[in-house]
Amino acid sequence: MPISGRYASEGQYSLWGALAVVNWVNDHGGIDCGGKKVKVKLLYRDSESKLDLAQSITEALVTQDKVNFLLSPYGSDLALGVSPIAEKYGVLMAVVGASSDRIFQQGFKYVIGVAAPASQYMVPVLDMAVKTDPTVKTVAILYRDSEFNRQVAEGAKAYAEKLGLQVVAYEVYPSSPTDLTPQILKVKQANPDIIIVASHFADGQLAVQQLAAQKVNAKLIALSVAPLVPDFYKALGTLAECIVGPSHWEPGVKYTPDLAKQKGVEWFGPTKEEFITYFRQVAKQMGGQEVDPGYHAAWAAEGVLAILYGVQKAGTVDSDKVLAALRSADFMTFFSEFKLNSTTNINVAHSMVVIQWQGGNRVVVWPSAVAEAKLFYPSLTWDQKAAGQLCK
Amino acid sequence: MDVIPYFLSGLILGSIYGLTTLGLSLIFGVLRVVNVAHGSFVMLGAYAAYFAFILWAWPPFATALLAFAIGALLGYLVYIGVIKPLNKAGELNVLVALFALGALIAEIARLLWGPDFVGYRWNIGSVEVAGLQIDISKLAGAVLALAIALSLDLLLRRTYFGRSIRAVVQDPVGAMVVGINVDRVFAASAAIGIAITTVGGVFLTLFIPVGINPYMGGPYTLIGFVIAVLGGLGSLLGAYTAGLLLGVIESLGFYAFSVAGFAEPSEMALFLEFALLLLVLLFKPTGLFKL
Repeated sequence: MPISGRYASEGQYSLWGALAVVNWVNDHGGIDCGGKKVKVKLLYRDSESKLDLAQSITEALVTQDKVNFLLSPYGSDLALGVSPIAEKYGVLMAVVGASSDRIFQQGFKYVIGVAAPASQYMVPVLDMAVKTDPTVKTVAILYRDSEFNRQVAEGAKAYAEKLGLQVVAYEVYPSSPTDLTPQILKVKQANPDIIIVASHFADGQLAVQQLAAQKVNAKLIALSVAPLVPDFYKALGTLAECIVGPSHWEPGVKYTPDLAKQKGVEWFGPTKEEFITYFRQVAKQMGGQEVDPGYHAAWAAEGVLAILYGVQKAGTVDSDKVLAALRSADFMTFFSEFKLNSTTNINVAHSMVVIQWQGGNRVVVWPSAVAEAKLFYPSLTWDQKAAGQLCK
Repeated sequence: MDVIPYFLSGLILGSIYGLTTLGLSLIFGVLRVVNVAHGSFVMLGAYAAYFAFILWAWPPFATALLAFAIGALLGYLVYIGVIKPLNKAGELNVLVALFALGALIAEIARLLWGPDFVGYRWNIGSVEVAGLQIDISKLAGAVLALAIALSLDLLLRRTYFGRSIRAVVQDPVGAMVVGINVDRVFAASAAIGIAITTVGGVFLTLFIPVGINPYMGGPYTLIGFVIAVLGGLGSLLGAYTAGLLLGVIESLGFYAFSVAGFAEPSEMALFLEFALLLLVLLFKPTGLFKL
């Protein structure tokens, strides 16, 4: 896991999420493996957000530490880079914190995805848009030049066209941009109903700031990744109002043992409340302060849970048997339901939720079954937001 | 008339590019040292702008003075602690040491301030020129950057201190013979060079007030090298002008390539920048603006 370097923050949260679940499992007697209760041990090393280091660590974990299973490092580039190693040694690896579709297009048998891939990110956002307002016609898409963001943008474009929307601008920008004015001027000329920015953290915040500066208004503005961080609102203030974004998981999401019972699937692992409690403990131990988990943490936890569920079903730590068990599994955790598609090796039961910044809070607005609040639509204009109006 | 907004936004961005490169160019010109830790000092300037704004509500231009002082002190320490002791061991040793220093500063920043992106918002209004909304803060930043570049150039041309720097650049041994304290010139150049880099970091936050992070420096080291080489390493006005040029190429190039129907115009603009760099290296390796 990258605990320092450019993915430090996300890597740290992912690690804590995985540890939280391992602690929960061990506090509950361990995992049932072939009739015997065994404790789970999580080994981790800091890959410093560097691919070569991530690769040598993965190699060492498999050959020297003899681990039974792997959790991928955070970041699509790193996860993609270590996948061949998992495949080479036939060690089952759950991909967490990485959603590039390319990871799963390599035909690797032992590499499984527990959450929706990048190309699906904007699907719920577009669904929400056309269901809320059937008159929307045009979409502009801006994306950062990176593996992950390109997939998000391509997926968004394909799905928008499938819904009959017209993509009026489709622009890439450099991965560490200082100024997006040229791209934003182009979006302004296209005057779209919906603006989608396939962004990461800093560039997403920059995009919002410059859309505001150039007063490019739209009925709906959606960004990937950036709006999910609390700092998004801290940095942008009321400009962040009304912005929506897809998320893998939010503390407001309601997957419960009762829901599992209703749907007739098995429940596995901690409840959401238990996970949050355990996560806070780990965060306090390792980071010095109690913080709440975000989607990175929950995603990593889901990776651990998926493997452990497979172990329990298969009654062994043999990767082939665990994989076979997972392929026929259908269960629910606090993160999502889990059903592994045996061709894509991705959990197809996971769907993303959409959040919106309303009155300084990040609330789940879609799908309506798990939503905390109604979508504020159409978005306020930048002038209204700058004047302090809130989307609630 | 669609071109004008692109040209203007490129020019404003270019002015900041130029400013952040001045220090890199000065240090190379005088000390013959490639400051690969450049980006980390840009980052420190950006954090200074952030903290001064959040804690004391200082506008970035006031912070620039503080950043200059901090940068000068750090630059002096870098000279005394790293460059001077290692210079005799060869350029490569200094290069590696500076690389390590850059990584060390970034990691210390992460320990102190955490790995998350932080930012602030300083809005003092905007003006509309040819359909482009220009933030007054950016405009003022661009003008101030020009002023700093010109005064630094003036310092080099018109003062005794500046003349001693130029003497050392031309011939360190000769300068020593005529009684110039070369060591002091080196120390002062490192101090001024890093001070200006740090100020550049402060100004940069006028553009990216939300992307402040311990690892933000990397791309600016890269772009700094391109600009410094284009302008002629060691030439201050050259660096500034090349900064302007790069900003305009980035913005106008995007416009031109997108009008011409290229699929990824901003990538093409980037390609154009590096193609220009290659041509300059091939045909005028001393840089575009160095006579």
